[in-house]
Amino acid sequence: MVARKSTKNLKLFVDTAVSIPTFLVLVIFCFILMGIDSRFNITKEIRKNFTIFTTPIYSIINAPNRIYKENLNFFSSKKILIEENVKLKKKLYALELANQTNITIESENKTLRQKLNLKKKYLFKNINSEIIRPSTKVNQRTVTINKGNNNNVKEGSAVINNFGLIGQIYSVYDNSSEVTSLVSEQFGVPAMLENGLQNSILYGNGQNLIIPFSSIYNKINIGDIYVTSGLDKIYPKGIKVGKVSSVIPTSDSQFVKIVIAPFTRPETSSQVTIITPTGTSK
Amino acid sequence: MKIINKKENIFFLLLFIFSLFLSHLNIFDFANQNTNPEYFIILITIMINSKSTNISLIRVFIMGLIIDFFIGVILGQYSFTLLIMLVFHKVYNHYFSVISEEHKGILQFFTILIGIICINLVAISNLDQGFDFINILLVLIFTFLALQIFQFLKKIFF
Repeated sequence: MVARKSTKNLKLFVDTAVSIPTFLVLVIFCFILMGIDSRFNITKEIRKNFTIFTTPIYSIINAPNRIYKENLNFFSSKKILIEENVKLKKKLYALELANQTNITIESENKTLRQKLNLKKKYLFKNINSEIIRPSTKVNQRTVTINKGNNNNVKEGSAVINNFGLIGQIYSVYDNSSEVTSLVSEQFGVPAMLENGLQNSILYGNGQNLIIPFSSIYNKINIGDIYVTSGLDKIYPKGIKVGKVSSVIPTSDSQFVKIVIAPFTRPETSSQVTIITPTGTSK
Repeated sequence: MKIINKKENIFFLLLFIFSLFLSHLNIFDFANQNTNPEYFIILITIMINSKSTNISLIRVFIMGLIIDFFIGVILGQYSFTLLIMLVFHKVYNHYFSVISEEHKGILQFFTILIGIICINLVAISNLDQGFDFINILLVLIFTFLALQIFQFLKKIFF
């Protein structure tokens, strides 16, 4: 009679011992940690205090790009540089002309505001920055930029590029900051239509911005442009946010859902500007 | 009793550092979707499938906390996921006979699948995100592809 081999001996792994009580205790501990972190944001604080571990990673990741940019002059030919210079001079000339008109408008605006006794304007400071790696983080729609505490970047500041609003500073480290994208579920921005009507708050839904419930009596059409209203004193008034892409009926016949496609996404451009409130005008 | 292989431990340490850098690079980002493979899940899958690495619940938990510090959405996200993966592996191995390399492949696939689901569930509940099935499917495919690359590296190393 042939003796049947034990199944255990056939297995590739023989060590199957696992302590159920230890497992349960550790899982409960994980949930406690998640609860504490969710309420007190301790990961953010730990990361801020231990940038000594994360900075080398960012530096190494960005090293090839930095070396390439630093040595770009060696690879650019004189002809390309001359052509670029001519283009930039033309652009500068056009901008100087536009700026002259802006100076006149601003001066008129200031006089009119004083005459009408309107409330003081909020002033903002601009800090130019560059998106570095990681451009997005695992499970999070955030981008990292190369300016931080050492450059006076403040949490909550708005981040824009030449197309419009990108997002908001979420956490600040010594030499870098994390930016939450405009379309993030954690994002909300007070905005209005370009003509100054229909003030509302736009919320991110992961892909676009939405106004969950807008009255059917509000005259909003597809293609209308939303700009920041400046009511929150975080974003300057008039920054382009997005264009109405669809108007969807809701379960309540008195309301519709407005979907707004943002003008820009963090990945669109490598250069960004951080806007920090500095106070009010005199 | 497992035989602790020093060379293998060095390999896993190198793979940990490699995974840390890869997790910060968006090599597999596809059409504005965050479809980066879960490198640390691959690492743990290889570790728990290794015959000569001594891996316990406490070690996995501590390793999860370290990963959480670097890339976690919330503290405890990876610790919880890695614990679930380890226990799943042990339970599967206890009830089913893993007698061939094909069986091992299936076990690795399910371990990765459970890991990705756990990571996403914690992230979704914390960030109020919707469950993006396509995104998770892409992450699973890329993770499984990256697993094959990691295993190839292991073969070269030894």
